[in-house]
Amino acid sequence: MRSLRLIALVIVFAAAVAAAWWFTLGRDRAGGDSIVVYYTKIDGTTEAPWRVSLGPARDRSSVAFYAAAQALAGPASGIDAVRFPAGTHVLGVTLDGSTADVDISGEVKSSAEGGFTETAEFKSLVWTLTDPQTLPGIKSVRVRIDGTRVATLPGGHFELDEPLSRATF
Amino acid sequence: MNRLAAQLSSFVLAGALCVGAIAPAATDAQTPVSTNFWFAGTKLVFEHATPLDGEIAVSIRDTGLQKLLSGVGATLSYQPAQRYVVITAADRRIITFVIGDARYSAGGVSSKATFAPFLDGNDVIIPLLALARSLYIEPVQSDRETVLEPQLGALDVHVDGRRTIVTLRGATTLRYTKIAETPERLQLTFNGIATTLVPARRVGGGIDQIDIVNGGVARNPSTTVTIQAVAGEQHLIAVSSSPYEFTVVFGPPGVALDLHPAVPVNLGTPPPVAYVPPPNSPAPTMTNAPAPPPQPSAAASPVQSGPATVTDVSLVPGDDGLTVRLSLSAAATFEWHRLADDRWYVDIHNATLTGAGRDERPNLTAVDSVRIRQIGTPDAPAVRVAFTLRGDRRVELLPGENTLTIAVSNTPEVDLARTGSGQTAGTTVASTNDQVATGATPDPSMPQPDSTPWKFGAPAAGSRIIVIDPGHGGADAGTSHNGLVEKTLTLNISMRLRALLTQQGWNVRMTRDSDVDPVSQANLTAFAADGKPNANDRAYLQTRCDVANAVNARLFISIHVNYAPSAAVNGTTFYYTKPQDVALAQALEHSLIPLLGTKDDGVIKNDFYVTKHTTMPAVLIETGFISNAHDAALLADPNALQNIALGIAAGVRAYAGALPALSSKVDPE
Repeated sequence: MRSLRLIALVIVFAAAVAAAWWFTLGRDRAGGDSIVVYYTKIDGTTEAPWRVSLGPARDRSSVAFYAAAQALAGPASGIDAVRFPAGTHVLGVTLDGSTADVDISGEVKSSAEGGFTETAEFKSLVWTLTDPQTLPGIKSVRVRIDGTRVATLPGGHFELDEPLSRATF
Repeated sequence: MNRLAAQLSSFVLAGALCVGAIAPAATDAQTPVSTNFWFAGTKLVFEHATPLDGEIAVSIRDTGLQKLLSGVGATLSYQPAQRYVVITAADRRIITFVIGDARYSAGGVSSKATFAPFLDGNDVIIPLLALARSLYIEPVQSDRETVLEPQLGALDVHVDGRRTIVTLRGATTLRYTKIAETPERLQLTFNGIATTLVPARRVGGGIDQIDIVNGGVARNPSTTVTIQAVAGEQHLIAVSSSPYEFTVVFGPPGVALDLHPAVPVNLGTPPPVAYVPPPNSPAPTMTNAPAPPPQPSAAASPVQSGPATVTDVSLVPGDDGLTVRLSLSAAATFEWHRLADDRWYVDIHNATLTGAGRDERPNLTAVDSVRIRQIGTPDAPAVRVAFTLRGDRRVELLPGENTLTIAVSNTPEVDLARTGSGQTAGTTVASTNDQVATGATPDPSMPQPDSTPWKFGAPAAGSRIIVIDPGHGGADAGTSHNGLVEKTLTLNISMRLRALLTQQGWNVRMTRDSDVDPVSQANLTAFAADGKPNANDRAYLQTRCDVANAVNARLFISIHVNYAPSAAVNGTTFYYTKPQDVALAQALEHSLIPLLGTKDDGVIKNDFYVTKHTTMPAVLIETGFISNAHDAALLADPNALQNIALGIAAGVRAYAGALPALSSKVDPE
């Protein structure tokens, strides 16, 4: 009887700890331990994937925000890639059906120096957020800059007020 | 059983306490104190910071934190309802905190802070010192203050063939003083920055040893770096892409040390392009061209005119209204009338219209609708151009050799002549008020206004009009590097292309033929009014599309010059959007690349505005990379610019074949 009680206590304790973990850290868990972030090589067209570890937050909202932040930062310096302008960062990501609405800081406006750069930058963002393992079901990306939808970057070429998908490029 | 239940309850309580232990310890940080720091020569005040577990708990909204991040070129991103706080350092390393987890990541390296970031209402509290160290900032206690000392955080030595590249990365802008310099030895002192890097290291490649010595005081540190290369090496301090980096390249004599060689080009201004329009070629049309000067009124003189055919009708909206231009095969007489209900029309006598009539509603300030019709009888044919105006607008008739231009301006007409006449072979236009048509009954043959929207018909396969779009212009210079400016280059190439295509017999229209960024007031007004975002940018680009759409042009060719952050990227790219663009893009690719000698970057689909919003085959050509030495040298060479124009013209010929015969469309010449 005593050993039975001991086993029961161990089970209850384990259940309590598991519940605590689930309520605090694991409730939002979805997907794997890492995401695939893409950067555009300096040829302007080739997308190179690299894996980035996820923290314990795995809910779709957190993962989408984290993925967008990674894509806008690009790979570490020393890796040849077409990057968003320095200082460009994510202000917010909203998931709306199959579309990720990404709000980007205004620093991105300084990249309108040719179709090559604009295209390469947004291609990496779109590929990252539409990766089927990272955010299943997300097919397109709508861009806002400083909270506002825009037709193009100032002096730019690329139309930004329609959702962008992998088929765009 | 009751005892077991009590024990279960106590363990559940224990589990709950475990939850509390794992949950963020927000309650420890309830008493904010004024915490002062010293950073980069200035006092930094954190208004929402408090000591916690040997750390400093700081709000991500704290203005002191914002100044610190700004000072090191970092950005912080956070969005409520998700758990990541992401800081991007100047060198693109990402520092990630997660609400509820003490572990954090800096550049992919995981560490653990003394407390987990937590929510405080709508605010997020993060560990300041952990963040600072991740940004190469070392907290140093000095008397009663904490100095946040910027550090030389990284030293990379990279062997690239026979070159050895040494890169230093700092928390702040690297300002240095040369202490000593010989070809194989470089000694620098970096001011305002300390380091925890190891003081001496022996490295490979062309470097023998690097010594690093801290100096100065906590508030004003300095670091002296001595790089000793092996005997016979030389060095060159590179131009770094980031102010937070310092790069020096060592190598033996004869090895190029410059990481970004200058473009070896003659950067003189390209010579002006001689362009002589053929006798019957219409002047280039610009959407923002000023209205033609008014012609003096004169008495009409009799003219002997034979049967004429209206071979081309173009409608060009502009800032000051609408210009309708008719091309005729022979001289003709005309007669115009202004009716009391804001309608205005002109009849061209003994004239036949090729193709069907035309109905347009241009949505302009001056004009509600335009209609062009064949009227009269087989024995006495006439072509009528009728406007429904928006009020009393000035209408000017400008007869040319075999053309008749009707310019409707936004300017209100004060002297409302009601009728007049003239001839195309001369310059006479007579007007009179004798036949005031107040209350006149409209001519039954007069086309009645309808609700047909402003529309751009299907691309006219038989059209002889090609629209060239020189990218950028005016205040929008495009990209500028190596002493070259995109807007100048695109106009230069476009003018050459216009001359070549005109010689082929095409009727060429330009979206601009001077240093302007064309935009119509109609588009500015329309896009601002419909609430669409970024109305100005859209209006400018749409105006370029309108030039082609309004005349159902055969082709639309947009000329651009490209840029890439890497000087290694080069080549010519042909961008398209619509399926109907592909064949044109391929034809241009096949003809231009061999002639120009650039790398073929291919035919690439893209959502560029001008290729997407034109209704005919359209291609945007990025002729070369202004940022690449080879391409820039070509773009600075007038002969190469001429080759670009020749290549495109050859591509047009290959794509469109012989000049299309006159068709039933209105617009062919």
